[in-house]
Amino acid sequence: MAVRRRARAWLGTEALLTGGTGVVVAALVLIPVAMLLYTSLRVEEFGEAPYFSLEKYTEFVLSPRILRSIGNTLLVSAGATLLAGTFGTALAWTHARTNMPGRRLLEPVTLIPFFLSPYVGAIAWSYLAAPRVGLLNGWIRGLLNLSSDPLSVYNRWGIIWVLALFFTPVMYLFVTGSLRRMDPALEESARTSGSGVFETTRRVTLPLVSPAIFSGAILVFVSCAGEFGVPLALGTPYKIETMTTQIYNLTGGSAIDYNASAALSTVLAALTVTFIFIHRRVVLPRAYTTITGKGYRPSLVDLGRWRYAALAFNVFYLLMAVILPLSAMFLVSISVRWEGRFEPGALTLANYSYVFTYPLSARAVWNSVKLAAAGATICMVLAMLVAYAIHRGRGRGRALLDFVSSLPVGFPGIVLAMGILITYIRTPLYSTLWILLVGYITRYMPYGQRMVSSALLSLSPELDQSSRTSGASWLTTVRRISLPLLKPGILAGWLLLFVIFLREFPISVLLYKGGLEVLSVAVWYFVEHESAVRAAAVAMVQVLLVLVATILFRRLAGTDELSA
Amino acid sequence: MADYVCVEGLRKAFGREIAVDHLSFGVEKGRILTLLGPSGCGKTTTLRCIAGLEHPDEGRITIDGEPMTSAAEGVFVPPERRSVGVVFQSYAVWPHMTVFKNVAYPLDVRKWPRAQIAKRVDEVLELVGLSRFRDQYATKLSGGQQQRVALARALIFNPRVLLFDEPLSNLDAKLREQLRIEIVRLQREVGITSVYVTHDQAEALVISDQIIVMNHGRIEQQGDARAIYARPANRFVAEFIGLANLLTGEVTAAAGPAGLVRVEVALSPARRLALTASMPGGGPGMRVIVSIRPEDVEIGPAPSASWDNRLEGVVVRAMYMGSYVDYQVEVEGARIRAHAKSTTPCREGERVVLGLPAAACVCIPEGASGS
Repeated sequence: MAVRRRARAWLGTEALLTGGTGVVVAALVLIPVAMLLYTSLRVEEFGEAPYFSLEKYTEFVLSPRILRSIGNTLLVSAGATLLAGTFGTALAWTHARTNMPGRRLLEPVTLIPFFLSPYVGAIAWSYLAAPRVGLLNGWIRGLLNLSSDPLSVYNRWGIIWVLALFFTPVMYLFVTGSLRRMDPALEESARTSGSGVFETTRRVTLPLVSPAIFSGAILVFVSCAGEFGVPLALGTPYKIETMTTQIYNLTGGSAIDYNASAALSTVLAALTVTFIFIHRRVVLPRAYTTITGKGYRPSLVDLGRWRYAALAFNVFYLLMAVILPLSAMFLVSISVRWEGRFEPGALTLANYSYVFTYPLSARAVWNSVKLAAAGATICMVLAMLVAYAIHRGRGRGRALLDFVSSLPVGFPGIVLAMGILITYIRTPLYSTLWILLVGYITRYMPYGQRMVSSALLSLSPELDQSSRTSGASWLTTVRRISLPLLKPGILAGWLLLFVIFLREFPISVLLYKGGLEVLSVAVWYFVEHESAVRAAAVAMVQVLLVLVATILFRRLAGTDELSA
Repeated sequence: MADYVCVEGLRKAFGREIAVDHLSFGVEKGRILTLLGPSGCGKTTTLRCIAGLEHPDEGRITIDGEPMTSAAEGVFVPPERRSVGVVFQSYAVWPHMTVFKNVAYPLDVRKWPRAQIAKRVDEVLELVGLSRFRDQYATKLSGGQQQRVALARALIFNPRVLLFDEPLSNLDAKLREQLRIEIVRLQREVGITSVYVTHDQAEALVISDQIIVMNHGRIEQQGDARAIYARPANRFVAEFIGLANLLTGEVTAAAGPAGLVRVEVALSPARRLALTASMPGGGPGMRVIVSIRPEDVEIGPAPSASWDNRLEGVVVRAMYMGSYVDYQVEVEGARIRAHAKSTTPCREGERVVLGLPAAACVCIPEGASGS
């Protein structure tokens, strides 16, 4: 029967593409996770037959040294979350709900740290506040006539400080998003009920945004616990170890033990996934629905003279998170040598020309750009198909696909990289750029998918359906209706991923081999093996590339896209 | 089969929720049938099954004798090959295209030559009165105009069937009335067999050749507008279509000519009252619900000799509605609503007499349901 054949053919294109992508994405995510768990449950001593055991958990993870690193992870994450939570909420409130001067201008700059690499931020802060060679230390010493250094970033406080500065924008995005979407009538009815501006803020506004604050805090905590570059840069000099640096240390050198590393990775993943799960199951369902379609501007709180204090606080944050570290890094990168003092007489561009001529760093720039472009493109194609399968498909297992495809968000980069390393080490992918590409895609595809999904959810399915009933096939509908309508979301997603890949560190450092260096790896290599001035120059190259892509992103997408 | 569109034993469940429960009906060629019911009654799901946007669990749908969906035979024709035009509630006008591009799309995907497309689009835009918006982006238009674009897009390829999914619900009352008339005009003019889904009974009454009242995925009553309004088949239809005073009771005797019966109804648990009501084929002992439309209830300070059933009561509320007054009259524990011309007003608290014409007192067998 002709009709039946046609029905098959039609099901073919859609089912094959979306279903096939679903299977590929699930495999990409689930195999490394399974391999990680499998490896953590084995003991493979040299010269002995491998066997299954819980040993790595009961003996290794519970050893005093590892317990201490777990304690450090919890401590720095909690400290950074508290600080970033305070900073982010205060900045968000002053921008969205007060008459602080200059808030329009401040908003985009406040988000800059979101796009920068925290690892590079940590390096930059070491130029500011390292003992002996830190710029700030020099200034304060001179100013107060001190004989010893007042500041040091090479301790837990330094790690907390840098983490907090760089994760404040995450908090900021959550809270401004919630404040902006809130129906102004909620606050207005508090006002007409007789409460003043500050009482309304305290008793209505803040309680209404508290789920957003809580969501932001959970995300910041999870990100900090999984952050690798900052503890590596600031903890290593004085042997302060966290779970992520331990996981890394166990993959090479004299202490090499993949099984132990896998076990510690599993523990860290269990921690972060639990938090994400709590967030999805407990916090999100309790969030208030306060959204209305009406675009009234909410009334602003008049801070009076305090608005200058608010402005001062904003400027302080920008100084600490953007202006001081980036200026310090720039000054170091154009200096002939660095001994803690800027010498205007000895300036040079030689460090930059070294970066572009030394094979390792020249290669790294090119590898990073290639990987970022290819990775972002492949991610967005997969993201589009997965989002389509989840939100427009009829197939079974859509909820499962949604869960599996967003699972990597709960996994710190270094943990997923560990799983990927174990999975692909015996395949031809290993020691090619492909393994880095696979790592990037596995970890960051969900970010692209969420962008496409939120764009797709804001489009009525009837837009697609009316194309079908007009006589267009599924493929024609995707090409002529869905893609053009999703274009802004897809482009914004592509640029965000491009930025993320340009600065990616933990996956790259675990999966690279000689010849496969990327920008972050080059920064790390230069910090370890070259002079400070050359390291600053590579880092500046990364920062500039990221900033250009970020400006393009801001042109294309609003801030709303980020909190999606 | 005589029916142009034919739905047989259609069933569709979403998880445990049964949206459409073994539904069968047909639409004659060139006619317009309305599926009317409260939200969640399965009317939109039925429409989407006809369009091929939903895969039914069971049942068969044919258009012009050709099977479109048949769960048993494993037939499923995709929406683009069914030749059905759909007008959605959300208009679904593509924001990245001009009015012209939107309307031309169905011909474009059918690979019509450019010149012919332009000619046909202009023709259809003329028909829906949008010629001067031809090159504007569709989303810049008002809701009513956007819905005309959607209508033009659904009409342009001369589909075999036109499907309307609550097309007027997003529009304001005035515009709704105007477009309602226009849809009837267009449908008559082009003569396309149509299925129209709405929860608005007034819309259904105006538009349809046939109405199917649906509830819980089943048919409660099928008939033309007049029959459904004048002789509701059961309590659900009586309550859903227009307003009705409902009194439960029992037929005591046949009352002579023209299908009239005597019914004893309960005004309150303690107070019973005998009425003459209309029930062709009714006999003593049947439990019934007597339905009287408020506009059929007569009201006055004193009874008129011509009234069949007279009830005395007190006006508890009189609401001026412009063309009529909406009265609530308390009659021995029961509240009766009456709509009367506003020329002879009764005041709240006044004692009045109500007249219930026997022909307007429609008896519905208790427990009756359409399916």
